[in-house]
Amino acid sequence: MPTTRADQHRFRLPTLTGALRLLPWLVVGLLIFAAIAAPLIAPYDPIKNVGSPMLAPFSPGHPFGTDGFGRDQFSRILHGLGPMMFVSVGAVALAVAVGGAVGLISGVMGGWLDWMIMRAVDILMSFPLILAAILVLVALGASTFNLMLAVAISQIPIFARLTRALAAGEVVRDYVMAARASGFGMLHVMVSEVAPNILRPLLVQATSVVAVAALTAAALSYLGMGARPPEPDLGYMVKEGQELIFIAPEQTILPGLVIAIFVLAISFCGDQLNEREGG
Amino acid sequence: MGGEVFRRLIFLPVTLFFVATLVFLALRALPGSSIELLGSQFTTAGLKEQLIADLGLDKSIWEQYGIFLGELVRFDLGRSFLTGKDVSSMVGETLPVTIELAVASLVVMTIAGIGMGLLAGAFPGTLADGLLRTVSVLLFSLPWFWFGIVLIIVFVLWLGWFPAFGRLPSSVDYEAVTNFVLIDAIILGRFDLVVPWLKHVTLPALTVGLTTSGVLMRLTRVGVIETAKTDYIRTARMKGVPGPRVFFRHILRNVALGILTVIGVQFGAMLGGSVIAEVVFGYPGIGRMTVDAVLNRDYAVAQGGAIVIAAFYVLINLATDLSYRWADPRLRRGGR
Amino acid sequence: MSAPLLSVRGLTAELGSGAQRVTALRAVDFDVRRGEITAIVGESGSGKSTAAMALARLNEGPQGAFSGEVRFDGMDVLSLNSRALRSLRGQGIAMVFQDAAAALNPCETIGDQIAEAMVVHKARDWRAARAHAIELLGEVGMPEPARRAGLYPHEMSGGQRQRAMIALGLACDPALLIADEPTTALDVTVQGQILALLKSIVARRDMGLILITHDLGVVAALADQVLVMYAGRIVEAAPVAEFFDAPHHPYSGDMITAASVALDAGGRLATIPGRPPHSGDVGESCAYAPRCARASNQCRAALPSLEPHGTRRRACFHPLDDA
Repeated sequence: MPTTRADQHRFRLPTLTGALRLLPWLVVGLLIFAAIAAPLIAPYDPIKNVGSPMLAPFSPGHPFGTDGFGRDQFSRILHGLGPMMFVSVGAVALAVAVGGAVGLISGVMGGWLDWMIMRAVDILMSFPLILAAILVLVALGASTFNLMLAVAISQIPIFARLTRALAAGEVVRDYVMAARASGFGMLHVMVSEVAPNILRPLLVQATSVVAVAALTAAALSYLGMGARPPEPDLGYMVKEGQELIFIAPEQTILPGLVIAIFVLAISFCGDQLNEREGG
Repeated sequence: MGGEVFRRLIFLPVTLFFVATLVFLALRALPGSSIELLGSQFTTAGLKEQLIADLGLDKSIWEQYGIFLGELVRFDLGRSFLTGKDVSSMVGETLPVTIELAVASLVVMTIAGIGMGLLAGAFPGTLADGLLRTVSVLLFSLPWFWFGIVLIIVFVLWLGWFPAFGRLPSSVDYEAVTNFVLIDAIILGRFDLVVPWLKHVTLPALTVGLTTSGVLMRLTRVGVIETAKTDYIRTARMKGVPGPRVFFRHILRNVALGILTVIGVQFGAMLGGSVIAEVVFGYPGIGRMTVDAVLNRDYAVAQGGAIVIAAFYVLINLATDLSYRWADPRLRRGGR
Repeated sequence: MSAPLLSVRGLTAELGSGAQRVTALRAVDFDVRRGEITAIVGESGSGKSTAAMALARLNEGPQGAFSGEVRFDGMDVLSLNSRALRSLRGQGIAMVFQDAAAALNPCETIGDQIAEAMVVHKARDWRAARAHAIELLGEVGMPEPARRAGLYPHEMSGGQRQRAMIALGLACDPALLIADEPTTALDVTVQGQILALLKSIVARRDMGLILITHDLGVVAALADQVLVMYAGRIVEAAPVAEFFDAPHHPYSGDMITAASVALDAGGRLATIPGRPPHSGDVGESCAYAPRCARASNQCRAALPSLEPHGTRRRACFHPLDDA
């Protein structure tokens, strides 16, 4: 059978050893801290012209220089971290919740309901991921919150399918059979018997998908479908910087590099969780 | 197995119908119509009403939906609000451009992915293996659009090897027949088109191809390592077949099937990647057309573009599945 | 008697890596002559398959190293360079593997798989090689060989696949055929046909055959001499008639008893109580002692060596013929 998109994202990374294993967690921790503390540690207002020349080079006052509107790039990147994490983590959380619920119903109930749900999932998955997200954003309008929704919706079918597979595997186990035989309702079986047993593999998979969600969200921002300017948004900052690459290529390189570092660190964290799961 | 193919074929029009409906609904839900966007250009109210009537926007959503479906089955995708151009002919111009780019990306992905995978799989556990795996993970983690821009900075700004924008230099005079540059080059005998086109397509294709090559690399690597452990490879070695021949003739042939499927699945994914690469490199494909139309609220164009991309994606995935069945002798003649 | 075709002396194999490295074979000695069928019997894990593969150095590599001596047709197999080793494989020694469904390439027709050996070794062109492959398929009793040569392994029955496997082994006229449990994956009637086929091929081509099996019925029906392996060592070697007449090693005796009990009980699986040890766990004591009714303190303190005794060899302090 052809691999699903979810399969493709299940990456087996080179195994980190010793102290190196801590590195991705440290990077993620540091980025989270920077995102939360951004209002405190950012030297300037991210959306105000700071009175310096536009496209100023790196200097102690402006560690990453200033952008085309004379705004402090370091402050903008710090403020852009929060939205990036909100969108990627929020989208995956939402996708796990909705896709998980749908998949659980499908897997446990079986029958025609299962068939209907899975055909609906097939249809949703017949869109290229990015196109699905674009359409959602078109319908809802561009904003950071809607970006999160759009990425979530594009990931829901993946989690629905995964959960269904996991749930269908559990349903035939003895303990579920026993619960059903002792007269417990379907809802009880789903929530109390099946769900706890498939939660761990689901969450491990979710961690890996955060990286994909971050990349998708960044691409949509780049296309101008994320936060509205002048709000700081890493993807859109790359776009703004691209127009100035002849003069100041660093203004487009830096925000993209931050995205890449986040994605890489998350991927390694997810892989370590996967390893522990024995996957 | 035949039943599965049949089921997929039956399911195809149903899928396409739902795809079209979802696209229609998504676009009708958007706040602020293109008329408002164009508002400043209409000085008299009468002209504006006229345009709305022409475009059918005064009708109820159900009527619009009916008209939309009726036109769709006749392959009539309507006209652009902004330029008045026929959307079908716009698709005819832009889809080949995207297919060209997707195929070029596929070539890059295949060479890079299989090359890295074979090397890493032939020498598992070595330094080269670790290095290649790291590279593939790095490539996977880069935002595509950003990787494209970095390529522009390095190869256009610093080295000046490639052009940064478009599909052909504006100085080239090109009357398209099929809109596929390479096919037209043969039909028209215009071989002078080939090199400029290659120069333009290289960076976008590298952007999409390299960032997607990691999946293929990993699968090739695992495939080679797993296949090398099989009984029939032991048989081949016991026949006295030399190592390189075992690798290329026996291991590769068996890994190739898995690779083929991944390439097919990735070809679909590549359409998504093309959307980004087309925007980064100003490449006049259907992805860029659709994104521009979405940003400009050009319903008909966005709708047509999205439906065509989705339909193409569905067809590619179906074709991959069929070709996989055809290529694997166990599936091809298994039913006999 | 003429010089043996294959002569193995002190063959020792270390397999696995790191902490899992074990001595899978210890000082194995035996000879195989042309036209003779040698059966190697033992429970799984006794080292019989390891020994078979070691003869063609198939399990050699970072995970496997050998010492001792293997002389085949005058060649010192363990010191051959890779080119000579390739030439030995297929042309000198061929192997028929247990599970033909897994051991045949699923993506290539049977005819091509047989022909490839000839293309590689004898520089034949494909056409001639395919034609010869069809002859070989005929020789091993494949019905409609010309049509079957164009089929893939999954399109054949288990018995036909095993015949194809044998034809593949015969492709370059080897002098020695090693058949590793050639019939375990087959049903009983087909088993008999395949064994009869092997026997007739050995006689007709005057080859040597090493038959690896755990089925004593097969040994009795086919073999000329028997090697009993336990925990990586040969514990008894005897001509087949004498072996079944009066086994000397208690392990041989227990095996024969278990097999005949199983026959009486309707052919259900026969077992000797207790577990065979991992080859690597064996120290300087008789490996069978923990399961042996005749074991004494001597058995637990020292390793009995394989000593000649009449027409046979045995490694036991208290053999069954010592009443």
